[in-house]
Amino acid sequence: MKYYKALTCLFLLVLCNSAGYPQTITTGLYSGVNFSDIHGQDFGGKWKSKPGPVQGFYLGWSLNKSLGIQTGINFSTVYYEHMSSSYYRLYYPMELNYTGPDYYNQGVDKMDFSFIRVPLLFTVQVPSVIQFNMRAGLIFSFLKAHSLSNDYYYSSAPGIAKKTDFGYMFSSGISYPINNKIKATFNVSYLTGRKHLLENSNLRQGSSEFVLGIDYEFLKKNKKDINPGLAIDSTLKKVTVTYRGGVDISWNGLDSDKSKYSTDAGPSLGFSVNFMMEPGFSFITGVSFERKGYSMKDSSASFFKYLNKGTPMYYVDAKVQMDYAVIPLLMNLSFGKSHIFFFNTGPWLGLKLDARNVGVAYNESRSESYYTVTKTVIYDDLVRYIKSTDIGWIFGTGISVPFLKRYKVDLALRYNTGFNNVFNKIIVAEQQSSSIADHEIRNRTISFLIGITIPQAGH
Amino acid sequence: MRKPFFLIAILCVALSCDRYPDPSVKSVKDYSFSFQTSQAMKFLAGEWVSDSVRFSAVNYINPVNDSVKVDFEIVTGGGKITNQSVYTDKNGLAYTGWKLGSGSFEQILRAKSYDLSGNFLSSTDLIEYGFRNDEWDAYPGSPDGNISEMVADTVNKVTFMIANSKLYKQGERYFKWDEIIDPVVNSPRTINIDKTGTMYISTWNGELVRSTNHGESWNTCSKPYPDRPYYFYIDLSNDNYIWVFAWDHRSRYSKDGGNTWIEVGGDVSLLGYGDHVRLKDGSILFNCQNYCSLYRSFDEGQTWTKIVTLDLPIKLYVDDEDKIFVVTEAMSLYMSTDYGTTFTIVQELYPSWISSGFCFTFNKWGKFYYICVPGFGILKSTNLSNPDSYSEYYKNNNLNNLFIDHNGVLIGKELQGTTVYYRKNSKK
Repeated sequence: MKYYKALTCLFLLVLCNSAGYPQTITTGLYSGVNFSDIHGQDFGGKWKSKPGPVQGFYLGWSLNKSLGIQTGINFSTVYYEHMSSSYYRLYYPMELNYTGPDYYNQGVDKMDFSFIRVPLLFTVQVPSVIQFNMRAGLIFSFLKAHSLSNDYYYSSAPGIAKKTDFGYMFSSGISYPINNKIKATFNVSYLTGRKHLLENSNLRQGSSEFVLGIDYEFLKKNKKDINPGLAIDSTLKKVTVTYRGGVDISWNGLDSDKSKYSTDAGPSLGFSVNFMMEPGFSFITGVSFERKGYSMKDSSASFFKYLNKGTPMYYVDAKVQMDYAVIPLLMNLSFGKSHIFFFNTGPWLGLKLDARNVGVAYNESRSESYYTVTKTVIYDDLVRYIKSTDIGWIFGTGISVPFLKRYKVDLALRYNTGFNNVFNKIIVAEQQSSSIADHEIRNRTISFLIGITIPQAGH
Repeated sequence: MRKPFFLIAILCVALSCDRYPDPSVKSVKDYSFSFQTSQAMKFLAGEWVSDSVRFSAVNYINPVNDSVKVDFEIVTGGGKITNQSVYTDKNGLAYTGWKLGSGSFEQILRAKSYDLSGNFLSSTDLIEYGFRNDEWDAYPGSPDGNISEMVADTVNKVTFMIANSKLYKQGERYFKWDEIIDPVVNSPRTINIDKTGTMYISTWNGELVRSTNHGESWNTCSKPYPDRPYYFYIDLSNDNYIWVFAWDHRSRYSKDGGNTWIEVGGDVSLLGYGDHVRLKDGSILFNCQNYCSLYRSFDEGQTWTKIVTLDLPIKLYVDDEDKIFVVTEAMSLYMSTDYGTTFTIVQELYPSWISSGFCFTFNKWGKFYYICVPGFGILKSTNLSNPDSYSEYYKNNNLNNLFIDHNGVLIGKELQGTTVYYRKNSKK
């Protein structure tokens, strides 16, 4: 009950706050491409990220300069393609006396789904030279057509696909004003369905969208009619956005068999919103896409875990990669001349987006009558084997250098440790031997980041 | 302002564009190895297997350009080879000569294969057998590994055996066997030979065939049980009588080489099968093996008198002096010199295990008796009645049967398994 009361108060506060601001209705058209990213997949095989079209129309209502709501309608087609693997040994006791390599099923299973979708999103805008915005909310999907192939789910009957779905949508983007009422926009969205897309499977819809669009703002007064003092209020002056990118060097912080694992490099890309509390002290949050994981290079019966027993044995050169949307909550201290140095620390929350095992493995097999070396190109989905979230702590430091007067360039070094074992032992134990289930993955990452802080509009 | 932006964008895009190849499995090295010279051939020790033993190493990935280095070595048996290290030719073949030694019966030539970088690929063995004098040579192959019956005609120098329900004749060498295909001999089960050299084969179909010309040709006898298309038990007594038994019939015998059959009298004829011996006084001694009892008949098998023994007899043997020897269920060898009135123990036998399938055999070659004691091995004796003349000749717990061919080669057979043991003695 308290939750609803708090929500109501927040809503009234937003409305009251918006009373002093000329409210704007924004509409826009967009078009782009989606890349499929299925959810709920089992271990093994590769779900290819296939491109598909997306286009739509939206209608937004700005409650004030930074908050608003948005809805609309879009049409998209999502294509899925799967190359399955058949790891008999992983589904049966490892003690089977089988020394030959495992084989991927070379068959390809395809599905596609066409939707009409209606999002309902809460939006946050950070005004700057290039306006930054974030959206999050629900999306309702209505299936218009679909096709399945190869009986992957033991039935190709069209009727088994769910006709409706709802899910979550997270979106972020930038807009660049062409004139007072028209903006060019670029948005990246992440969509995930909540219902099983087929009756007999655990799979759920998922995709990432990259769209370009044009916004048109109604009911917006000309710039000269607006009191500049209202355009950028004092609070917003203390908010900046930093776009960051860099490299994550990550490894597995487990205790056993440490020497068998090494680091893996992955991208880190995102933004942070900096709320200056007082000079030299700020609060930082945001979202970044980060690839964590580790690599393994040794003889093993498993491709993602060092396992020196069972058959067949491989020489494995593979990486476990886990993609996260990382939300940090950092306290940042700046010091030195012009606050050039900074140190920040705080917790982080990681939402798993994807996980996979990639690399190569060589199996050497010999008898009196043959000698073979088999190369396996590994790509196995590990999504179900990795827990959905991880939390941890960040320690970061770096320098922030003024650049072209209005900008700042950050060079940051960040150590990021996860508190949990993200290997989902329960799921693994259901499917595989205890030897495989007995594993730990603890995220450890050092990030080398470069960022640029863009000033607010009007500055 | 734009340059750093682009740098960041390029860096991130470059890292993000980690395009993974599709999963796949393929062979990057694939060889097969084999000796094209036949395995498990039989030779005399010291013979050449071939002056050109052929070894094949096939590279399936790069068959034309790649060669394989092959190192030949003798693992067991001694002997010698002509080439120790060779490269395969364009057909993937490497050759060496191989002469067997006499260090062991099973002789192994090994080919170790290496690629051109010197990486070891595989080790392949060629196993051949070299038969030696005065040694027990255990041959695990067929058909002799499945021998069930054997007869030897020492006068006409022929030996026949039955293995896998087929008839074989011993070839030029004692370990070579040639299958005899004769339309009269179908599914042979047993083979016996009488004192005249006439051989009899009983079949799984209830037929009886005979050969009076040392196995050159075979003729059908009259069926002992005309209405019965199944096998029967057969025993040839030392007076050339043929004794037969079937579970649903009385015992019968033929004294004219299987032309006519006479039914055995009394209840004994229903008891079972066993050994029959004509004693010098004209009586017939019968050891019913499945009933473990000893009987004697004075009227050509019409009535029988049970002989009381100290234990249950399971094997009967009578020597040329009418001394009766019986092996009993308690694994003792008894002797009677008074036609079974009294028995004295000659030997205690000590098999390491007991089976109902045990087949005690008494063989005489030259001046020696060879007694096969299943579960123990072979005892040798010069005088069966003298306990001190017995000696352990061959200790082999697996042995169950012993045959002697027309040249005096001892051939032992396991109860289970398919190994046959040959021993050719150089001293007669």
